[in-house]
Amino acid sequence: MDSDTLLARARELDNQALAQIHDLYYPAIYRYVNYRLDDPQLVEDIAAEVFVRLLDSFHRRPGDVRDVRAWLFGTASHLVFDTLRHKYRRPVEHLEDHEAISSSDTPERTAELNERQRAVRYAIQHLTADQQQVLSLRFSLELSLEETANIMDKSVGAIKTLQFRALAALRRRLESKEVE
Amino acid sequence: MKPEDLNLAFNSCLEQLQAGVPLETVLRKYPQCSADLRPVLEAVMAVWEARGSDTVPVAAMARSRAHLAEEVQRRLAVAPPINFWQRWYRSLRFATVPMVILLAVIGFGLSGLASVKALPGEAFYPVKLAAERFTLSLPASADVRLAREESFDNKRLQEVEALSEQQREQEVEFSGFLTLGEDQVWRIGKILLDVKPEMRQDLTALEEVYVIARADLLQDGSAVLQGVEPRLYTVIGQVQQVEATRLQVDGVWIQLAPEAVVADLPVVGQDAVVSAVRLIGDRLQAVEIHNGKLPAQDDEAAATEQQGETKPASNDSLSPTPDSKEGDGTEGHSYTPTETPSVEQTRPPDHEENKTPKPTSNEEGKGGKTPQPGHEETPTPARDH
Repeated sequence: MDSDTLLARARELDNQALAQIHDLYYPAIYRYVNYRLDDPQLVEDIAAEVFVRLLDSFHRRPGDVRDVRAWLFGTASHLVFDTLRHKYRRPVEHLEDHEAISSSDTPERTAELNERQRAVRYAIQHLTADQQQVLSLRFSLELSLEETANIMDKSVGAIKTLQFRALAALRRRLESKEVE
Repeated sequence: MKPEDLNLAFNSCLEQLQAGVPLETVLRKYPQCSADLRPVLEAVMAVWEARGSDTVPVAAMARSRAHLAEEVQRRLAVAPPINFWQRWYRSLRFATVPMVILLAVIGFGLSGLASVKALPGEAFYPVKLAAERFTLSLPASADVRLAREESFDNKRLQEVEALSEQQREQEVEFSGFLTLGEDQVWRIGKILLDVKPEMRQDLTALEEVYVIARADLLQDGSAVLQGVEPRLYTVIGQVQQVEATRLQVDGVWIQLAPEAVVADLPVVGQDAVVSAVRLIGDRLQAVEIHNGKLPAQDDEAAATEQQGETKPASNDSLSPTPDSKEGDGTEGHSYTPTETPSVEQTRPPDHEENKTPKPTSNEEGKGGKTPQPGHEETPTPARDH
């Protein structure tokens, strides 16, 4: 089934087409959300909610969705921002989250790695919305410049500039954190 | 280093890092910008490091899929399946407004285009006449109004010529100067008139006068004259000069023929209402002159016309035309043609005595007499503006 046919059938709430879209894009959406949020339960909820929102959009405004992939990432990005905004209002630290223990590393090395991951994630969360999204898409999901530009509805040139500035800002924030 | 070059170097470094090349090795290839690239590439590596596991929990994915399937069923249970007509309506709904506007524009455009070349008897001809009436109703000076009238009169003549060439039978109405050629054939413009014997006397009275004619076009191209009447013009305004054979009203010189009906010759400074015919050479010759205010019954006539009733202009009581009342930009001083009842074949008993064509009333019958060649001795009036 080609993408146009798949989209057309999904608009008519065809179960099989919707399941196919879900299985095709769920891993990428999950990773995207997981990269930006610390809470695994929240990541799972948001990843699932993205597809329910797609269903709503098909049901209410079938013409709105033209590129399913871009639409899913855009919606995931909005949901993540909403969650982060809510989280900033009522900050709760869960330092024990996401501490995956690798059998090959020593406990000291694992602790150092986890600390480093938390620092980077924390620094990323203080960047602008666009900078966060471009870092997630380009360096977490490793999408191409063109794919990122399509999802963010920007030109490739704008994405190049944005990613460079995002990385420079991230570096500055990490350095300032190290100084502290 | 230019930002474009730095971006190129960055992308190249990124590819090498992804391929597993150590950072120091990568940076050695770009010594001129390694200071700029190093912090950014270190940030990239930090992001990669913080990415953590790429593993997607299979259970989470299965739960999400099951939840999606439940939501689909719930929505399908609430809303019945969309049938063909609903889908058609939905797709149409988004395009309805622009489609209606487009169709309206195309429709108006096509009918406008079609009406431009429409001839009497054709479907779009009323559209053409309506457009002309609208143009005439627009505010304009007396000169502009007259020019528009003449332009439309010329179109009527061209239409009759076109119908005649196409050998079509049609009842037509047109205007122009009535002339008698050396071949003793009556003409209006280039249109040759087929005149019944009983009408010839009337035509003689209207020779060289601007007239409105009604005729039946036959397949052989001849125009059988059914009726003819002089077109009357009403000049309303202040009398500026009065001479023995002419007077000037609102800047317009009007000849005073001895046959003109003059209720009370106005003096300089008075308001006057002059009904006149138009002669070859753009001269106006008075048919009736009234000074001062309009007679009271004309107010009634005007009121009647405003109520939509048709009432021919009266011979003994001139009134401004509905056009002039509606306002032509001259604020009470108008110079407009007036519709008059037809002279046709019926003439008033006194038409032999009345040598000036004039409007007729229902009470007096129809008829008028045009001044004969002698009237050319009258000084030619000239318009001051």
